[in-house]
Amino acid sequence: MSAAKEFELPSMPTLCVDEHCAFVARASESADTLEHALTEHLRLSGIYWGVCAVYTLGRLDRTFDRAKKEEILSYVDSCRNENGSYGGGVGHDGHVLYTLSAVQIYALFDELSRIDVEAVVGFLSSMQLSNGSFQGDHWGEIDTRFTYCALSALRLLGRLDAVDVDKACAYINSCKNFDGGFGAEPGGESHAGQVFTCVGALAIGGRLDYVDGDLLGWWLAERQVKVGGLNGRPEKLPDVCYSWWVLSSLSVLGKTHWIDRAALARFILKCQDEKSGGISDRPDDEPDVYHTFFGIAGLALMGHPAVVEPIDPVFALPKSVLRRMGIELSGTGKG
Amino acid sequence: MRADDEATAKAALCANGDHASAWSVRRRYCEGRGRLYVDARARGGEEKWFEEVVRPELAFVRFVQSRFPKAPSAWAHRRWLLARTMRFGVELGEDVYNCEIQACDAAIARKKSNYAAWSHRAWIIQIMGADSCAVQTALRASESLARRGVSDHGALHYRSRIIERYLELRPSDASKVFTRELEFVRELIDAFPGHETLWMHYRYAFAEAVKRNKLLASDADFLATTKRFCEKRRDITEASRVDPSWAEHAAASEYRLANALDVWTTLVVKRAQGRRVHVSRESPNEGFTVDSD
Repeated sequence: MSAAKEFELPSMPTLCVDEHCAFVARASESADTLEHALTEHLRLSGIYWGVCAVYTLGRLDRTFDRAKKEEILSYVDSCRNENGSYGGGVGHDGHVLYTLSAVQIYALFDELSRIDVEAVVGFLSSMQLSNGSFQGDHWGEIDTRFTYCALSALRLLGRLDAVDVDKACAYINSCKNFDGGFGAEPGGESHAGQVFTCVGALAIGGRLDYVDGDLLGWWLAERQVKVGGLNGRPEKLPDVCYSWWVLSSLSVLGKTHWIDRAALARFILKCQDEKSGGISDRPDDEPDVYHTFFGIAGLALMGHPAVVEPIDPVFALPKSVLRRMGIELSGTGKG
Repeated sequence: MRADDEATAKAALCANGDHASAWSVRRRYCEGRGRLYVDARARGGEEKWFEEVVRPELAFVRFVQSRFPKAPSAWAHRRWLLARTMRFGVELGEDVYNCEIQACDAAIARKKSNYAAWSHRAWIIQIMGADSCAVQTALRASESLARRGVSDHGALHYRSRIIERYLELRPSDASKVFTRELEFVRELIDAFPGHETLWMHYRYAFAEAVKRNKLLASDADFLATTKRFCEKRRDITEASRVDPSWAEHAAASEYRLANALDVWTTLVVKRAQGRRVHVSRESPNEGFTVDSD
């Protein structure tokens, strides 16, 4: 892959694999901090980001021994609610966001047998509304992200049949804007994060024909700023997480060559904390597990040699995991 | 931090305004109190619930938002409160709408290009109903918001949403609205060069004008106006003579933005003419090209 050669340039910083794995391991231990307590409601997503980051670096078993793995999985089990949904933390209300995170974590550890599939499917299908959209939970907030979470989780469980996929995709299409981008709801401003979820949902639903590849590819490519990083909307600052939201979408469209990948890689690598590990949103900021994962995932899409496990741009899971589950991988388009 | 009761939830939210589970606890609390008011079967139980439970809750959300202006779950909580009120059959007065607009403005002042706040502002205009006068007022107000927010893409997108809402109610005004909008955005670009936000808004106005009236795709005067504008903005020599410091910073951006608009509008026009075209990019550091198939 031509992108890999760019990483051999002498000016390209090294990816600090050991340090990042240590950072993730430490993050999973720091239960005594205020920050840990205040983010309990999204703990499952945090676990997914950490585990997937380490998996793509080829260090899953080295970072989490059997005892730790069981501790993590038991924690995920305990986030299950009676209606089949998973909450972000123990005792937290169920939501499609964390239900997907749970399925992703079980998939990464090859422990899908721990899921009560019918219960999860029951919850997810009950979240679809008559116009095809999905609410996040019974409180009724609708967002295209929730469509993606539901379709992704259902596809991973082999149960897309449980919802109306055509209507779901038609609703996503109604969130498409004049610039080819997608927002959180019909008429919502195009946003790279929403673009990822909408393109992903359409890919899963087999309706990429709804996407205007030329216009959207153009909009996505324009997210690259002078310093090489990517932003999420015009005139916003670059942020490492957009290395994923933008690049994965471009990958599905077969247009990653429309951005300067070497410049992006350099930006991501500059956002590393080389001493303590972890990656931050932009250079010299505090690292966190979220940006660590998305920075590594972005580098994976670009074929960085140290990121040994290729990642799927639609499911944001290693391709080997999807293959193990018998899921046919998304094509990366013509480019 | 488990938020089992409404007071603990309040405390959690003061420390983290995006603590979605804590907002759920607050909703259960408000919902529970609502049932008491309504079950009492006294007349006006629903209105009392709004005055005594919802209004203070909205004020509490505003309090949290003073520190966490972006938190999406806080905005979602506001919408739940208002939607629940409407489902109870209580009509929201103008003061309520104004309060919401003020909440948006306060949040936008704290955090530029605040996606959730601008979305909420557009949602409020939507639920205000099909009163074209009110929407027209909102449209006029959005003009000064746009002027104040030339680098705030949310502000210009919000304006485009109000335009769409206005045209849902008065579709025959489309031609007038978009002619005016294109003049407005050219005026803003002349005054504030180098802002990608404004150039994106130009694309919006151009594309929507052509979408609603395909004849514009063959209207020589219409097309020439945009071409001439791009030419003018590309001519940095004159602009640099007037303001050399600008030339150092914004000039290269302006040149690139003007070029991009020229090609982008060409794509829109060719498609409107029914021609099959595709976009390519030779290298990531060059512009896009539009070729006929």
